[in-house]
Formats: sequence, C-alpha cells, structure tokens
Amino acid sequence: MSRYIFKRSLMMILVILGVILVVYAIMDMSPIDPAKVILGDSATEETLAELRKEMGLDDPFMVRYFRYVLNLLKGDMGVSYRNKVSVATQIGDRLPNTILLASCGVLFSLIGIPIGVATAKRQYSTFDNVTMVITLFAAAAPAFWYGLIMVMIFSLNLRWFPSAGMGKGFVDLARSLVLPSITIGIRGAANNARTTRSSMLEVMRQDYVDTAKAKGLDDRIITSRHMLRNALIPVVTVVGLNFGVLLGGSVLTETVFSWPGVGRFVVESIKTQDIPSVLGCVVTLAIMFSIVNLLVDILYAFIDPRIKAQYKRSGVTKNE
Amino acid sequence: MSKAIENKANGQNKARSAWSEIIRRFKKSKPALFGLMFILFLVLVSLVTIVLDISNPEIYNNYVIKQNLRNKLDPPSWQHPFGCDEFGRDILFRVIWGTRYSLFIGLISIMIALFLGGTFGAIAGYYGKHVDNIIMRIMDVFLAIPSMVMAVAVVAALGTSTSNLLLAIAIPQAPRLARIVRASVMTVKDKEYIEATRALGASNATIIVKYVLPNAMAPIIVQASLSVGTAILNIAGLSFLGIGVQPPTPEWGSILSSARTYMRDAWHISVIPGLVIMITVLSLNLAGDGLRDAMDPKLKN
Amino acid sequence: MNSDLIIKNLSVNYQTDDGLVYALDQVDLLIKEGSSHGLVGETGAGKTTLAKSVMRLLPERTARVISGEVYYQGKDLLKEDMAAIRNIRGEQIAMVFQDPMTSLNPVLTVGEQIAEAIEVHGELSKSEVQQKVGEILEMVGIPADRAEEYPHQFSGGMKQRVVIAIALVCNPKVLIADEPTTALDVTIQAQVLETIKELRQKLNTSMLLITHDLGVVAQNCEHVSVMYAGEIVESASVKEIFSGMKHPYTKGLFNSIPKINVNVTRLIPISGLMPDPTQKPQGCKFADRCPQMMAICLKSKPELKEVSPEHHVRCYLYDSI
Repeated sequence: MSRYIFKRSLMMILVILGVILVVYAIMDMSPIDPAKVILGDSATEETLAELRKEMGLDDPFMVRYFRYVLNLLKGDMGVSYRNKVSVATQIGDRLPNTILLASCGVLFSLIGIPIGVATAKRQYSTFDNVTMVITLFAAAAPAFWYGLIMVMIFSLNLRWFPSAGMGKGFVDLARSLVLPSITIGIRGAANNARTTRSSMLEVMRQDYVDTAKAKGLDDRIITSRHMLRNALIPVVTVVGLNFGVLLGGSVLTETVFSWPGVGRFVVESIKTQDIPSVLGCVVTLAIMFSIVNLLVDILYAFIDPRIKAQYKRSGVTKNE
Repeated sequence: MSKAIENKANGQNKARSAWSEIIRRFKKSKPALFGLMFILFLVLVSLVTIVLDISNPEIYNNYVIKQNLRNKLDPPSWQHPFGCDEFGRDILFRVIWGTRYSLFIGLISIMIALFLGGTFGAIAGYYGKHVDNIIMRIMDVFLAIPSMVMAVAVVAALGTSTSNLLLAIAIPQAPRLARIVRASVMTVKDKEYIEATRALGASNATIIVKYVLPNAMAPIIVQASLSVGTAILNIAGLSFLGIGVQPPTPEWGSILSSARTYMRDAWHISVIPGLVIMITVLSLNLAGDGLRDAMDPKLKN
Repeated sequence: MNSDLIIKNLSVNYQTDDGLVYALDQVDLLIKEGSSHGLVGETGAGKTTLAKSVMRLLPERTARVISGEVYYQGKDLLKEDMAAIRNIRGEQIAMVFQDPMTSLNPVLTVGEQIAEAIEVHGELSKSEVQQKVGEILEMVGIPADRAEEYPHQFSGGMKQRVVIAIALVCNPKVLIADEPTTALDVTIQAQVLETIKELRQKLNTSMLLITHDLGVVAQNCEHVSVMYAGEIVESASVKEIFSGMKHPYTKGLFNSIPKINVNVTRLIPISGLMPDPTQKPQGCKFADRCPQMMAICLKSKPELKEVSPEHHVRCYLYDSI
C-alpha cells in the first residue's frame, strides 16, 4: 500500500510540473508587457528594456520556467504588478477560505449519494421520477445562477442568510457559508445522485446480491454491505472529478458572494492584467486538484481490493 | 459502451443499418426528441437573426443594443415580456439575438475540441505503446487543470476575442474527448476487418480515418453532444465574470453579468436568461442521453 | 419434521418488452429428504426460474407466480413473509449459483462472506465464527488461512468451492445447485462435484442439481426430471431413465451427447429450436421437433402419466399403457 501511495505521489509531482509548464506557457503567450504594466504608459523604451532585463524577461522560455518552479519550491510566486505585494502571501491569505468553501461544497454534494440509493431502490416510482427530473434541471443551469436566485429568495426576501461576504465568528461564518456551499455543490449533488442511482441499479443486478440474499441476510445489510460498497466505486471517481468542477466554480461562486478566496482574486487580477497573480492562482488551484485526485486514488484502493492487487502485481499505472 | 461498438463494428454496411435502428430507438424517447427539437429550434432562431442582421442591420441596432433609459429595469409586461435591462433594452430581443453566441460558441468550440482531442486520441489509441503513453500523460496534465480555471487562464493571457474564447472553451474539453476517442479506437482497431484492410496495404492514416473512426463514432458523438452543454455553461460563466463575450453583444451569460447589481430592483434580469440557459443545456443533455440509450440500449437503466 | 421439498403445480410468468414469457408451466417436483434430484434441460427451459422460485429470488418487478405451492416442513414458501423466508434461506435451503466469477462480492474477503452466513443464523462469538469459517474452508479443500483473501485472488474452481462453503456452512437440509460446474473446466468440474457429494453425505443434505449434462446426473443423482419449455416432460429414477427412457425429447437429449461404451460415428442433434416462450401452443410443446409426432400432438397437450411406479412421462405415445 505504501508503495502504491509513493508511486502515485511521484506521478502527481510529474503532473504538477506539467501543469505549471502548461499554465506558464499559456501565460507567456500574453501580449501584455509586464514592464509596461509596472511602469505605466509614460515609461521610455530604455527604462522598459532595463526593467525587462532586470526581471529576466528576456531569458529563454525554459530558463524562466525552471526559475519559476525553483522559486515556487521556496514558496515564492513573484510579486503582484498591481500592489507589489508577494503573490504567495496574497494567495496564502485567501486559500484557506477557498478550501473551506470547496470542502463545504463537497459535503453538500454528498447528499446526492443517499438520494441516489433511495431512488435506485424505488426505480420507476413517482419519487424516483420526480427526483431524477430535479437532478436533470439542477445539472443544466450555471451554478452561479442558482447562487443569484438563492440570494434573491433567502437573503433579500427572507433575510435568512447574508447575501455576500464571509462572516466572523462561528455562527456568522456558518450562516455566510450556507448559500455559497449550496451554490458550489448543487451540480455535484445532482451528478452524485445520478451516478449513485445508475451504479446501484447495475450492482443490484449482480449475482453476488442473489448470493447474499440466499444466505438469509436482510435487506438493510445487503444494501449497505454488498450493494453500496460496490456501487460507491464509480461514485468516488465522480466526486473527485466534481472537485475539479467545484474549484473552477469557485471562480464564479466567490464572485457572486464576494467570498474572499482565490477564485475571486484571479478574476480581479485578470482585470488588472496582473499576470503573476493569475499564474499563481491557476497553479494553486491546479495543484489542489492534483492533490485531491491523489487522495481519491488512494481512497479508491481502500474500497476496491482489486486495484491494490493490480499495483502489487505489475506496478502499472491505471489509465482508464 | 463496448457493446455498441461491437454492434456496429462488423463492417460499414452493418454500421449503416445500425444507424437506422438507432434513429428508430431515439424517436421512441420523448425527452430526447424534445431536446433535439428545442436545439433545432434554437439553430433556426440563430439563422433567422443572422439573416435579419444582414438584410436589415437596423433591427439589431434599434432593438438589441440601443439604450433607452426611459425603460430602465422595467419588469416584464405585454410590451416587454421578459422585461428590460439596466439600459432599458428589451431582454426578449437580447435573449433571441444572444442565441447564436451561446449556441455557436458552444458547438464550434466542441468541434475544435473534437478535432484536437480526436486527433491525439486516435493516434494514441491506434499506435498504442509509447506513443499512447506519451500522449495520454500529456492529456493527464491538461485534465489536472479544472476546465473553468483553464478557460480563465487562456482568456487572461490572450484576451477576450471570439477566437480566444473558442480556444478557452475548447482546450479544457479536448483531453476529455481524446480519452473517449482513444478508448473507442482501441476497441475497434483489432477487429478482423481492420486487419483485413491492413493486409490489403492501406496506410495507417487511411485506416484510421476511413475505417476505425466511423466505427468508433457512437460514444464519441454522445460525449461531444454532452460536452456542448458544458461549453455553454462555461461561456456563460466567463461572460458573467466580464471576461467572456463583451458588451453590448447580448450573449446570455453577459446579460446575467449585470443581474447581481440590480438584483434588488429587477429580478427578471437574473431569472430569465438563466432559465433560457437551463432549458438549452437540459435539451442538449436530454438529446445526448437519448442518443446514448439509442446507441446502446443495454446502458439504459 | 420431514424435510421433503414439494413443488406443486408451479407456474411462473415474466413480463418483458416482447410480451408475456411463460417460464414455468404447472411444474410438479418432489425432492425427498436426503435424496438427490437432477433437473435436466436446455438453456431457457425454466430450470433457473424453478430454483429461484423456491428461494423466492425471482425479480420482483417482472416475475409473477401464477399458480402453485412450494411446501417445505408443512409451510408453503410462496406464502411466507420475507422474515420467515430469510430464516429459511441459508439455514434450511441454500443455493449455489451458476457462475462463480460473479457470485462472490469482489470487495469483501471470502472469510467475511462465509462468516456473515453464519452470523445471520446464530449467536456465536467472533472466535467461534472464525473457527467455523476455517473448518468449512478446509472441508471444501481450501486452506483456512486463505479466508483473509479476496475473491479475485482465487481461481474459478476455488471460487465455486467458496460459494459451496457459503451454502453449506449452516448445514442446510436442502441444497439447490444451479449448474454449479457449467462455468468451470472439465477437470475442475469433477472435483467440485465430488466435494459437494462428500459434504452432502456428511450433512445428510438433499439436493436439487440443475444441469444440462446427463452424465453429471448419472453420477450424482438418484432421481431425475427432464424439463422442456417450462414443463416437466419425464421424471424417473436415474436407473430407469438410463435403461428405459420414454419421452422423445429425453431420447434426443441422450443421443446428442457422446457415449463411451457405444461406437457412434455421429451425434444426432435435436433438430429445430425451443418454441417461442411468449407463445402457448395448443398441443405438445415438443411437437414441432418430435420425430414421432402424431396428429393428436398438435391438438391437445398430453398429461404427465405414470408408465411404471415413480416413472412419469408427458407423451401420447404412452397413452395406451
């Protein structure tokens, strides 16, 4: 098991290096001249050239890339063009807020799992049909739109929750988390419900369920021990993938709710052409997603003994 | 999914008769038909507005983008069924004229993604071994970046021109489609009729394009149709943030971008464009699901 | 109490997209305590439906029991509530399924899967359960220490031994084995059947052995019923079937398998296919394929008639006897 984790971690590091390369390359294509952003339009060509040289902007791409990676290892993501504050500090201030929101969003999305189980067990019932229609609608609209609608209903009209910002103190914080968490998690909840349902229906047809019934086990144990553990295997993948969607969604949700996180920071930075900040944010979100993928893979091996064995035998990496 | 491929893998003639069978089954699903009809309706709306713009640009100027502050934030009425926005523009007109942006950016970006991802996926699946390994590792890197984050990065670096937006939406979808294409190609490529074609001396490129891809089409089309929905949601998100389609162009997401500011006074700016997006994406998903069930009834539960 | 399993007049339908499928048609069967009864027939004859009816494992949404009773220890299993059925399953009547590859849960160790069959039917301490798991594994020929392993670490034959261990761990009175060796290699088949035989003798368990292999029946059963398109067409002791089979279908089945002691140059297959299960023909269901078909066979359905004590045939050829 530890060998498996080690191998996957190594893979993850390679993927993260690749991610940084891709993001760095995309940002490098930007026609924006950092020197001009810093010095303003009034700067002369000479001072611009001097600054460029000082910042190492004239070096070959790979040199600059490796310099960025090395600095990143030291926790240095450069300095924001806008306010000359270290990008790492600015992201560090906001990252916990994003992680908090994303985690609450994932937690909310997990309600899809019991819903999926319940619908599968009552396939074709009115409850099943109605729930499936709801999940279809829930997955079809932009998440941030649900945020807007909920703010109108629950903040402006009913005044149950704040419409923006992050509350201080436990109660206020919890209250301010409710709407953004639902917003960011709602499409995941719909996906989880649908995946759990179809996976449960698939598992219910399996012969080992008949074997379990033939032993004389009762329905509750068959559902929890035999069906759910197998049905959750594909659901874990979906939850992991949803996390990526959710991190992407943080860009929108944080904007809707003025949540002080990395997502809102990246939007602000784009508007001020603050390339190092954008780069830092995108790299941070991608690294977070990679770490979550690693955790999902490890969790996977815990649920499905076949995966563990596969790694033990050949050491190949799974791909599908 | 492999069953669907197998069904149609017995040569191209059989593939053709399988298509009529797919159409028959697709027609049996009412939600899927509704979805398809609605999408065709939107395509029609887009084409009509394009023709109108060419023949009479005044309509666009006077009704879609011209500000009319007298009607500012008017709620829905008989005269303005969807109400008016903060500049007094009729939202119904803006929604109708916005159709083409949401729909075509979605469709075209997925075509680009399909071309990019399809090429790499087909090469990886067909050649296997090291080629496969290298290409798929690169795809893993792209997959590790959440699609909305990637789109934001592309727009941030390149700006918000239409072609950049298309790329911003297409690039994150490409590796997802590449995986599907690769898997489909891998299941098809070892079939006897491919072996036979190879024995006749056909080149690899010919085999991939003429024989492997047509028979691996089913899951690819399904995934692509579902991806268009994702693309529309992403483009709406970018426009909502103000880094997508730029005002005064009436893309649905950009109509929503002012919604938050005027939430207290004008609920309709938030509600209506969102509903339109929802029904569109829902239609795409219904059509996609229907197509999947029609291509492989075994997958239906 | 007497533990005969008596199936009377059992008819089962399935509702499918293609219409009503008549899976079982007025089936009678008797499995005496301690005896072994073979049920032979082609794929689709309704053998598995029969087994699942007894276990109450028919798919709820599609299957309908139209008529009949299944008596066991004075109770009609088809009328008992699920709580009572759960007490009977595993403890009184157990089942071994066809495909060992899919009948074990991939995410639980084989030990856990055996243990839960014990735990559900008795209050035993953890160590007693573990001991019993070890014992039954040894009995089916698997080292007890492999209880910690997962199904994917076992071969097909070993998996089927585990399934047998699960079925027999509570000393059931009746074992229903649904083609227990069909999915296995020929050499493994004999071993698995031998294991079942030994255990049955030790535990005095009666068995309903479902198969399409007459050879398997000859070696493992005392009685045999031949099933065709949802009906029992012939039923007799194994000795009598092999010495004096009556029904043309039974003869056809017998001629389509190779024999070791007779020099046959060619096997004779039964021509044609089983009738469409959604149709209920007026006459004998085998009439289309029967080499000895008579006019009456198409008009009305023959009854199951006794041709000698405990030997019944559903065929007009033996009406005169």
